[in-house]
Amino acid sequence: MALRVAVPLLSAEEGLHREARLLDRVRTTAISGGVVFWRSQKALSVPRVVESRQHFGAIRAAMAKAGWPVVVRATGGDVLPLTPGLLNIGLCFAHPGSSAFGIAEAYKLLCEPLIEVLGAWGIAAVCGRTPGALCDGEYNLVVEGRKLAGTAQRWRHAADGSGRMAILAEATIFGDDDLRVQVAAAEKFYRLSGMVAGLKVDRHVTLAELLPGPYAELGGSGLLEAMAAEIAQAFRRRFGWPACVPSD
Amino acid sequence: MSKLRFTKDHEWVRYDGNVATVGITDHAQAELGDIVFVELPEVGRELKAGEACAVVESVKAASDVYAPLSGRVSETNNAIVQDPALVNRSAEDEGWFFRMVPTNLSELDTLMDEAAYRDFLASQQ
Repeated sequence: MALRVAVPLLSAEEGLHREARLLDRVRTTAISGGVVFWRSQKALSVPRVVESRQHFGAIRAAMAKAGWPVVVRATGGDVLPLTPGLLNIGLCFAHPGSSAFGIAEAYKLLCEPLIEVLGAWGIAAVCGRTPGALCDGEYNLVVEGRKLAGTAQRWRHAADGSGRMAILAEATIFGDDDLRVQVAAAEKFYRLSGMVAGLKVDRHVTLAELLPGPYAELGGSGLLEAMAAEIAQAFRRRFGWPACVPSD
Repeated sequence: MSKLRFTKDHEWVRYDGNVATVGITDHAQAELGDIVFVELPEVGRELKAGEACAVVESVKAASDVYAPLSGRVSETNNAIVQDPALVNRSAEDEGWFFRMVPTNLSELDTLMDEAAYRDFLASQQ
């Protein structure tokens, strides 16, 4: 039986809230993990470091006026414009906690299943940096030097004092976005902040570009739902969770 | 005489006189990578040992920092708010996070000394 996975279109606040709620469940209960998938209404997602910068309030207001409400997320990274064409994945899992298990290992747990699923669709992705891409980082998913997905993490302790860690590992995959629009939004934000972004549209790639046949057949949201269902299966194989994907 | 102790969560605490200074270990800063943001507890806040009281954000991840002891926050290190990379450069000295007045000194004895912490790190590899 094929697994069906809901990929609801949510406000950015609600999507991030669902991820935070799942992290809190992993932190405060015995459940070992879960994953939420969602698409976002247009918004600009920024880490907390950005919130602490000078004139953030005025910049936030200017971006909202331009159609890009700014939301502050609890994971690290940089500015990322969210749109309905992106697939947001919030993977939460518990780990007993040890110095040998760190941020790199957590990224592997997130990225390896994604690479496996993309490989099954004929896309050869690797982890790496993509200078000039939005929210560039060491653990982007990259296809032929172009960024297909970004990642971030939030670590918290379990509430039971056991030393167990609860980890939220996020990935955002470009689906059928007009990346020129996203890059322009991020550049506007940086410009208002008095910073130079150096972003390049051609350092990104979308699923629609890589999978023109399935995109034509399934449409943007259909392709993201099909991809999400396979990613959910891959996480299940990796983590051995029961056959459910927590969602609200 | 000062006492330096460590938690399994990779915080250090140096108790000297009536005040304990708290930070994250060199191991923790190396694991996080380039630190870009630190949020510190308010002066006067009462903390319980093990309570999440600060946030540290790097280019790779964001994580909580936990109070190693119970007590009241007496001072915070504004230098790491202005320059978070100071934590990378000097995690166990100038990159301290906050100072507190402990309310239960026996909690110090539940933490690891430097040799035990090094052994703990080695045992986790």
